[in-house]
Amino acid sequence: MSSSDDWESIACSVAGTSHTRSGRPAEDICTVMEVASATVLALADGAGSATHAREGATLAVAASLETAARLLAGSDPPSDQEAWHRLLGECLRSARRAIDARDEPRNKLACTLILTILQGDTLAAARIGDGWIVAEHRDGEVRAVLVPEKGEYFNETFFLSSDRYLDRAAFRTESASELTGVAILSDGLEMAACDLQAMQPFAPFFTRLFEFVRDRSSSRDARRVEVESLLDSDRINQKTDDDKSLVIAVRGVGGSATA
Amino acid sequence: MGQLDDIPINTENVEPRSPCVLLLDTSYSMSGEPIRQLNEGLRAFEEDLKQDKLASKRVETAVVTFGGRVEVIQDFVISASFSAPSLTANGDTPMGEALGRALDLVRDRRRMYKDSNLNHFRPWIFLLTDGAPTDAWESAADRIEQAEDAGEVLFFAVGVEQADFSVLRRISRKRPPIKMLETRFREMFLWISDSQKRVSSSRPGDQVQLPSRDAWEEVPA
Repeated sequence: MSSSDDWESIACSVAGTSHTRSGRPAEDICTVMEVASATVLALADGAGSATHAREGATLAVAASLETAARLLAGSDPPSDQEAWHRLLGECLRSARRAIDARDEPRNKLACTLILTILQGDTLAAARIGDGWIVAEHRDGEVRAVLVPEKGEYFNETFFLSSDRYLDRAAFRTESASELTGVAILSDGLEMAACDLQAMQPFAPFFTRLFEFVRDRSSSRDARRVEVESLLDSDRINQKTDDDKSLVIAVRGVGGSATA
Repeated sequence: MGQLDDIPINTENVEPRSPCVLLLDTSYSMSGEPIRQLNEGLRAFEEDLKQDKLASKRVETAVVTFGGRVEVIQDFVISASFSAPSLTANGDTPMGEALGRALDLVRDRRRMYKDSNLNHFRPWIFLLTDGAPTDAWESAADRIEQAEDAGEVLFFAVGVEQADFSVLRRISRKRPPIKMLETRFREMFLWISDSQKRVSSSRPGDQVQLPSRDAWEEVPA
């Protein structure tokens, strides 16, 4: 069990109750990749009516991570914000090429996409569509790194398959040196975990979540299972019938990991 | 028991709203059986929404009638609190004024959502008539078309019995007016509530599939 630069991560995804009712598989895909001292969190949420949503999300995550791995391993880390944004832009383009390369029209493969890279003292993130990126500071403060983009109406957003997807993408690079927790989540969880009027994360949820994942008295797998159990709980399902995905990276408040 | 059972979750989030205006003809020709069936349809609509977990918290209904005068019987109210009014029929058919009123209600509601940072779905206006307007209606019809083009509203028109379809087609330009089969008011109102259930639970990327109108639409032979 290795962790890059002290960060330890888990990726959790649970199908929504609307899916289990209709027998459709979950359309959220999320994972963590560690490469060249960087930790990369990735999440793609397949669009509701896209017939191949799960396939689109899978392709998007795989292609963007492949490009991220190549760019992060191949040379010195990006030196400034612009360079990080270019790197992330390459990952997004790669994801889009992957869905364009299929026979199906790309709207059938539509998905949102979130990427967050933690390397050294930098957090670099990109987002197309909805979903949240949340960070916790050493001093306990919890805030959003990026908030979701919705269309005019609650059931609208933008997708990797949308025209001008890059124009609609949001990028953010900031210092990671004071961060002790980072989470990316799909919109399925936002009713429970965020304040939608203030457009902020609901801090008590994330504080407890990061604290739990940081506690290494149980194995990483055991912690992942607990988080999945939370995602599938009645308390969460009362707020949504959507798929829920959550990728969490934490490090000790002291800043260094033990095995 | 899960170790995260005690994790605090946000219970304060306001549900996104799905606003729906029922714009109903209560002119004299609706008296007797038609208005009785319309009222029964409204009760079925109320029940159907109240039974749905999400829709009861998300769908907001306003009722505007036009019969002699235009009246906002009910400004937007959440389904859980909606009580089907008992309407009576009288007077002529100021449909033009009523259309304008419905658009004003929608415009004001959208502004309120925006000011309060409330999420919402595209508003619906659902017109039901058994006749033709007895007042000026052209500019209201223009407003409807502009609002539709701007994505601000979804407008449906239903004509029953002796409704004037040539006028209705000039009012409902984006989608053809629907002719009600016989007096299937109840089935029509249940179609509206079912549609609103689907809209209000839809998520980004969903292409909302509206239910079939077979039970209440008369299709030309």
